[in-house]
Amino acid sequence: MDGYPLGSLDHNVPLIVVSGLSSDPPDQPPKAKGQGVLLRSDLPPLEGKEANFLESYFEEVDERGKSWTVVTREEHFRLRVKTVGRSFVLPSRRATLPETIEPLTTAPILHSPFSPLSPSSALYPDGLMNAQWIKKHQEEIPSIFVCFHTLTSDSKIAVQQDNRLKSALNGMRATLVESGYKTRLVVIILGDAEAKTNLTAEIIQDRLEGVRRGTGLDPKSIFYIPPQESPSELRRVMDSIFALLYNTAIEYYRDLGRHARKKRSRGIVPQPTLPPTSGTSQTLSLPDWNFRYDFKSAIFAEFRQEIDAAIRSFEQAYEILLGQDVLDIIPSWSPRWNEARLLADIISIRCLRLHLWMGQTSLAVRRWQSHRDRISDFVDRRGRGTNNYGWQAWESRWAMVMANMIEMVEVPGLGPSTMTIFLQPEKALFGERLQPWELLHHTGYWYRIAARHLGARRTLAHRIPDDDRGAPDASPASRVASKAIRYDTYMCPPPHEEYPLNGNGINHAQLMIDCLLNARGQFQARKQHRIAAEISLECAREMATLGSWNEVLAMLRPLWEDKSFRSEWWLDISEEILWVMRRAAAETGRADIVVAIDWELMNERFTPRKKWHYDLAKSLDGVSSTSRPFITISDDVASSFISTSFAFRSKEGRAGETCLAQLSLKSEALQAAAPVTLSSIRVEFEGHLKPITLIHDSDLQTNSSETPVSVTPVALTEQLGGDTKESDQSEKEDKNDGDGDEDKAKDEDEVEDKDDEKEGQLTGKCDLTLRPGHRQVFEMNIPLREPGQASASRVVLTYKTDTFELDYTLSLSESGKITGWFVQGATKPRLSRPDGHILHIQPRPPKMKLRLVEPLGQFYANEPIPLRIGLYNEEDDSANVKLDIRIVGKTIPRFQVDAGEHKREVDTAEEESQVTGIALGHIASSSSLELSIHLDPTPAPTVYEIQIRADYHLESDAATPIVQVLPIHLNIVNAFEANYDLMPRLHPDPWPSLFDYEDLQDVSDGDVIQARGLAQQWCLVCHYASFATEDLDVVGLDLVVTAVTPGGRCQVVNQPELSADGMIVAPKTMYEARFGLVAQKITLDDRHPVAIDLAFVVRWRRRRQLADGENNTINVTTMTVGQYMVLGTEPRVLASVLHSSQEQAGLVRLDITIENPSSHFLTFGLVMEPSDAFAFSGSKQTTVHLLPMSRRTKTYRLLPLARGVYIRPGLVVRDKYFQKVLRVIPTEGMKIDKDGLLVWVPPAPEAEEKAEG
Amino acid sequence: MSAAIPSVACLGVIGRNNNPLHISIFPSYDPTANAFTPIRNPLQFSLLLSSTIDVFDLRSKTSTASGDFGLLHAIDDRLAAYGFETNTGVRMVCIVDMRGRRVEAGGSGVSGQGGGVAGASTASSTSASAAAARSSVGSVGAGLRDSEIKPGM
Repeated sequence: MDGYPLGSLDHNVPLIVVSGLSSDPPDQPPKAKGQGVLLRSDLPPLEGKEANFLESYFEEVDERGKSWTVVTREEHFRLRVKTVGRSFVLPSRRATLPETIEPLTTAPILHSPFSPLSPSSALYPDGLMNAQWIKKHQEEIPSIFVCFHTLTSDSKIAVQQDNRLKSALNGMRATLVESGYKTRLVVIILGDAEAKTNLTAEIIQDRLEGVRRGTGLDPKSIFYIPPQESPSELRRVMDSIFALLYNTAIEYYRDLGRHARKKRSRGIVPQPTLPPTSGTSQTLSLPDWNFRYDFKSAIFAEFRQEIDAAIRSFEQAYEILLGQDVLDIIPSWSPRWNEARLLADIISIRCLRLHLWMGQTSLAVRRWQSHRDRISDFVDRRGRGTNNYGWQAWESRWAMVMANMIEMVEVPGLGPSTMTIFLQPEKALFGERLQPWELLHHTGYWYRIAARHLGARRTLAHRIPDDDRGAPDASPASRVASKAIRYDTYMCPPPHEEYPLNGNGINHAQLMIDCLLNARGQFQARKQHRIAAEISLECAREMATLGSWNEVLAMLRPLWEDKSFRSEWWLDISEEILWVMRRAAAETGRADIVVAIDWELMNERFTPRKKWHYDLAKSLDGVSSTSRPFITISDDVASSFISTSFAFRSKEGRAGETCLAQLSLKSEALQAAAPVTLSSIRVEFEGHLKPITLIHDSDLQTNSSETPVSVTPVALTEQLGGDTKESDQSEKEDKNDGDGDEDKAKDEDEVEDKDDEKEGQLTGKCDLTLRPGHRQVFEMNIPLREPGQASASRVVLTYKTDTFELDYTLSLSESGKITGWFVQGATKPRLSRPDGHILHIQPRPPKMKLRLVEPLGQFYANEPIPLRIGLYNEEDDSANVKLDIRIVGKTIPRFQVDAGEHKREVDTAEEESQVTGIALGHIASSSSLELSIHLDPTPAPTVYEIQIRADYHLESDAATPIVQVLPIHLNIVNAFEANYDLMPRLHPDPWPSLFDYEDLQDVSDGDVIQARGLAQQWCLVCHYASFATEDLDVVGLDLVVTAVTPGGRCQVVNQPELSADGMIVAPKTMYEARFGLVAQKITLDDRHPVAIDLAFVVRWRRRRQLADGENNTINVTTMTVGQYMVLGTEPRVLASVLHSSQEQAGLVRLDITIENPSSHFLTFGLVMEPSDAFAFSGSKQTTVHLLPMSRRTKTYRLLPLARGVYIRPGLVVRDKYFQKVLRVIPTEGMKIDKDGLLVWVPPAPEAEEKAEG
Repeated sequence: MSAAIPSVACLGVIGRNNNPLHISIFPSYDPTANAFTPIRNPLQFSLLLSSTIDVFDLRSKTSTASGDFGLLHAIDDRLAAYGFETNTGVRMVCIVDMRGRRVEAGGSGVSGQGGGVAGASTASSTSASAAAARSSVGSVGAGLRDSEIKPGM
C-alpha cells in the first residue's frame, strides 16, 4: 500500500473536531495568515480528570476510526476525532491569486485551493484529482465542531459565565457561517462537581435554554452531561451522544454528496480563475469534470458508509477515466498520465475494498484481475508496454495491494486460524463458471505472486542497457529525454536508480525475501508446510544472491534436518535444497554440513553435476575452517550413499562358540565419484555382543576388485581388558609382519579411544575401499560369550582425511529388515530372511557333569533314602561351584546334605524344601567331588522331584556364569500290600457263670483290673505280598492292636515265629500269616459290642545291603488292617472239630457250641441230617435251651466213610422262637460254603503208609 | 490478438507415502515467444505437486468419501491444481494452466492444438477486441474437453 499518496486510500469516516479539552500548544499560535478560517474562543479549556478521560476516549474512538474493517449495522458510529484546544483553523475556502500576476480588470472568480481551476493548485490547469482533496475532507474540515464547556454552579458568577459562553458561541457560529463551510456546531456542557448538589434540574434547564436561545442553536446541538459517578458511565453517555452526532455527520456528508451531483448535472465546464499560460494551456474537459464529480460523490458515499452508492460512483468514475475521452488522450510522456494511472489504481483499490466489505470476495478478485488486464492493455497500447521492469514492479505492487487489503479488511473466514486456503464464491456468483483464481485465496498466495513479479522485475532490470544506467547528469539531455519515454517509471524509480551502473540500486532480493517471508508465515500458519518449504527454498536462493549465507543456512537447515522431500523421495527438490545449502555451508565454514551434504550427494539417485569432483577428500577444499573438524552425522540427518546390512549366518549360536556374520557395505555412489576409503568401521550391537571394529589396511587387497560383489573374510582379534587374545578362527589371514609396528600403533590408538569402555572389543583389519556401485562384504567369525539376544544396532563409518574426520552412523535395527548371505561370485544374497541381524545366543553348554553315583533304584516307603551325587569337572579349567538342592513333593521329610566339610540339614516341610548356596569350592579340571543327600523315611508312598543345580564359573572366565542341572524323579512306593480275614474261634475257657458270685466279684489286684466279662477268640489271617522289585528279608511279623473300645480288651495270643535271619519274600508272591486274638469285656454287665483296630507290621530289610556289609537297617512297614466289631450280643453257633487219635479209627468229634450273650432265654432246635459220607452218633433232632449269658455244647461223633475229603454235615440250628436258621460258624479245620459247613477229614494214616509203601 | 483457454500443464501421481510416482509435463502456449514451452521447469512442477499434499491432508479431515477433491488450490491466476484420491491413498493431481492454449479472436475452435501453429495475430489492438477476447475466455470456461487434455506436442 505504500507508495500511494497519504490519505488517498484511507477508510473515510466522518470527522469530528473536539475543542476545549486541552489547551493550545503555547508555542504555536493559531495561524491567522488570512488563508484559513480561525475558530476560537477565549474561554479556558476544561481541566480535571473528566477532561483527561474524555481525551483518551476520543483517542480510542479515533483509533477505531482508522480501521479498514467494514462498518456493520451493530456498530453505532465510526468516527475520526480530532482534539484541539480552544482554537481551530479551517482551510481557506477560496484560493488566493498568485501575487506574481498583474491585477485583473474584472474581479476574478476564485475557486477552492484544491481545484484545478485555481492557479495555486497543483492540479492547475489540467490535473484531474489528487489525494489532497480527500485529505482535506478527512482531516481538515470536520462535519461537526464540538465545543466542550462547563456550567458553573457558583451562582455568583453563573450569569456572567453564561453570558461569556453565549458570546463565544455566537462568535464561532458567525465565523463558521461566514466561512461557507456547512460544519455543524455542537456544544457539550459539563456540569461541574458541585452541580449535583447546588443546582436543581430546573435551574439547569433554564440556564441551558438561556444559552441555546442566546446563541440560536437548535436543540439537537446542545448537550448537557451532569457529573458522572464513574468513567464507564461517562463513556456510556459519550457513546450515546456520538451515536446521535454520527447521524448528523452523515447528513453533512449527504449534503456534500448532493452538491457534487448537482454540479455534475449542470453539465458545464467551469472556467479557471486565470487562463493557463504555460504548458499545453489545456484545461479540463467535460468528461474530466464528470470524473471529478463522480469521484467526489463516491468518496462522500464512503464517508456515509453507503457501499453500494460508493461502488456505483467509483465504477462510473473509473469507466470515464479509462474511457476514450480521458486517459486515452493524455500523452504518455505527460506527468498527468501517471497521475491518471494512480487515480485508476486508487479507485480500483477502493472498489476492491468495498467488494470485500460486502463479502463479494470472488467479485473482488475479478475486479483485481480486470483492472490489471485493462491497465496492461492500456500500457501496451498507449504507454511503454508491459515488457519492462516498471510493469513488473506494478504487477508485484498490485498483488501486494490485494494481500495487504485482505489483511487490513480482515476478510472473515480467511484468517490463519480457520485453516482455509480459499473462500467459496459469494452467493451472487453461484452457478457461474469461475476461474480457480477467482476464489479468494489467502494472502500467502498473493505475497508469492508479488515475489514472482519482483523476480521478473529484477530480470528485466538487469537487461537495461548500460547507457541508460548512468546518472542523468552524466549523459546528454537528449538521452535523458529518450530514457524518460522508453521506461515506465510509474511508481518505481528510473533506470539509473533501479539498476545503476555504479552503486546499489533497488535491492530486489531483499524485497523478494520480505514478500516470501510474509507468504511463508501464512502458509505455515495453515500447515501448508510443503509450500512453506518451497518458499523457504526460494527465499534461500535470494539470500544467496545477497550473500547472506548464515540466513540461507538458517532458512534451509530445518528442511534439511526434518528430511522433508528426501524422506518422500522428491529427489529433484531435495537435490536443489542440498546444493543451495552446501554452498551456504561452504561459505560460512560449516564443515560438518558441507561434509554431510557431500556424503549425501554422492548417492547415484541424484543427478550428477558436471565438473563436480565427487570426492570426499576434496570436500573441504575452499572451506575455511580453523581446526581439523571432527564431524558426526547419522542417517537420520543425512542419507547415505553407502547402504549397509548385517547378517548372522544362523539364527542361533551358543556362548563359548563362534558365529559367522557378514557386514555388507554397498556404495551407491555416482559412477563418476571417487572411491571412498574408510578408515574404520565399527559395528555396535544391542545385547551381549562386543562391538566390532574393522580398521583399514591397504595392504590387504580385496581379492576380486572387478566383480560387483566381493566377499572378504576378516580375522577378528579379541581384546579383553587390555590383554589380546587370538580368537580361534577358521580362516586366518596372513599377517604381514612388515607393518607390525604400524598396526600396533593403530591398535594402541584404538585402545586409547575406547579406554572408557571396559568391556573390550573385537578388531579386524581389511581393505575398506569402496568403489561406486561395488558391494564389499566382510565375513567375520564372532566369538560369542554371553547368552541372550544380540542384534546389530548400528554401524559407524569413520572417514579420515587431512582436513577432517567424519563419523557416519547408520542404524541397522530396523525390524523386519530382510538380509541375506553373500557368497563370492554371486551378486544377489542367498537365504534372505527377515531379522537376519538378530542372533539368539544360547547359554554356554556346561561341561560339568552332575550325576548319581549309583543308578537310581526303587525306593520304598518307610525306608531312608540315600542319594549320592558326583560332580565331574570336564571343563578345561578348574571351576568354582555352588550347589542348590531343591525338593518338591507333598510332604518333604527331613533331609541332610553331606558334602565334605559342608553339612546341611533341613527339617520337614510342606511342598517344597531347599538348600541353596552350598559352596563346594574349586573343583580342578577333570577331577570330581561327591556329596550325599540323605532323606528320612517317608510314611507313605509319594513322589519327589529333586533338582540339583550347580552354578559355577571357570577360573579363567569369571564373567560367564554356567549352570548345570540334575533333575531326579523319586517315586516312592509301598513295599508290601496285604489283605486280611478275621475268623472266629472257640474260646477254650468256660464262660463265667451268673451264679458264680466270687468269679464275678471285682477284685482289684493293684492297678490291673481283672477282666471278667465274656471273651472271644479270633484268628486274623493276613495275606501279604511284596511289591518290591527284588527279594526282601522279612525279619518279623507283628500284629498290633492299635485301639480298643473302652470296656473291652484285646490281645494277641499267638503269632508266627520267624527265624533270626528272617524269611525271604519274593516279589509278587502271596504269603500268609495267622495271628490269634482274644477279646474280652471287662465286666459281664457290659453289653455293647467292642471295636478293635489292628495294624499289621512287617519288619524287613533289603537283601543287598547285607552284601555291602553295612548296617542292614530294619525297616518297619505298618499297614492298618482296619476296624472289626467283636463281642456282639447276637447268639452265634460255633462248630469245632476234634479228630480222634489213630486208634479210634478216624472218629471225628464235632462240637456245636451255641453262645447266648444276650440277656434273653433262647431255645434252639438242632437237626442233624444223615449223610452218605459219614455215620454219626448224637441226637438227630434236639432242642437246646440257653439261659442268658451262657453257652452250651452239643457233641456229635462222626465216622467218615471216605478219607482225605471234606464232608458236609447237614446240621441246621434254628431259633425256635424267631424260626430263624442260624449260621454255623466254622473254626479250625473247617470251612463253609453257600450250602453249609464242611469238615475236613484227614486221610487215613494207613492209606498214607500204603501209598508210601 | 488471441484469447487463451485452459490446458493441462502437468499430471502427477503421488503414492500413498507422499512419494512421487509419475510426473508428466505438457507445454503451454507462450504468447511472447509464440511457441509451446512448459510454463515451469520440472523442479518447479515437482514443488507444485508436492505442495498439493498439504492441501490433500488439510482437506482429508473434512472431505467426503468420494475421493474427488476438485480444486485443491490455485497457485496463482494462471495455474490451478485439481486432485483425486483413490481409496488406496494414491493421489492424482492435475495442474491446469488457465491460459495454456490459445483461441483465435474470431474462431471458436481450438487452434492451439496443433502445437507450433504460428500466426501471432498483431492485427487489431483496440480495447474492443480485448473485451471480445475476454468474453470468449469466459465462454470457454475452466472445463477441459478430452481433446484438450492431449499433450500438444
